[in-house]
Amino acid sequence: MSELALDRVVTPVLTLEPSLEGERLRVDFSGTGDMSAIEALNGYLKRVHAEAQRLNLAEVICDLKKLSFMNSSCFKAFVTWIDAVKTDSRHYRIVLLANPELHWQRRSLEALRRLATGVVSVESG
Amino acid sequence: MSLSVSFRAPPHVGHVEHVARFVSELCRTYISDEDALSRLQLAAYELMENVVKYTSKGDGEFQLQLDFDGPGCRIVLSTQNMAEDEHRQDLEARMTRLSSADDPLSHYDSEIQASARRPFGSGLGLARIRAEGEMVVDYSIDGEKVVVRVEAAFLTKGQP
Repeated sequence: MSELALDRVVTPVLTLEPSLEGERLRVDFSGTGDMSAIEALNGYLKRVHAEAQRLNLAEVICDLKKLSFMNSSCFKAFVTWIDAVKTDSRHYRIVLLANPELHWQRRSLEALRRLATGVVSVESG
Repeated sequence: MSLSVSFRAPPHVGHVEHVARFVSELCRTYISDEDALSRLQLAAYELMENVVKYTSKGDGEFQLQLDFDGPGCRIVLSTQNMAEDEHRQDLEARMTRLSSADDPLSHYDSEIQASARRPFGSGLGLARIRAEGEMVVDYSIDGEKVVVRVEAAFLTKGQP
């Protein structure tokens, strides 16, 4: 398998740490998805999608357990990405790992799951 | 008993998180339900962010009001700011759709779907407050002035 062409991204509020685990790409999110993170997150999720297609991956895991909050604009970056995966002929699964102590995640991630039930799953714990 | 706190300042992105945290922490004095506090923080965050994004001139205002009544309290969060005509019309259109929706969750899902290919802005903040925050959303427009008000009832500490 090719090497992952996706770097770690660090902004003042948000850090995105990618790693390749066999046929799965894992991205660890930490910090806050606020107004200043929108551009970085939008661009990053586009690159994640491109990498998942290039490497023909089966799954992308987003570990959001250390993401303290996500505003509606960052939420929309996920919506755009999920919609792109859903409408692409080469699907891969998206797994969102949630922190049950961050209560906003239960409703927000469930809304993302409803957007594409065959693509997105949410695991909490 | 009632309690109210007002914040008025020129729009600044740095205020958003501080105000949202303040709302959650102040309400923690009276409410023990962490999920409810999270919903309030989310609502305050989205409202404040709209003030920062859409205030066309002058200060933006945020108000928190708690009215205690029997075993619970009613909490109202409201914002007030001047906005450009384009944003006032956008708010009006969104609120018309939101107010006429029978089910906030179905409405939220359809707004999410519609936002997927919108190039700029999410347009999801108020629908998110309604669906995820489980708060009633209302608004008024008077000339250039926009007032957005969200409210819900919460159980106070010591109540089942």
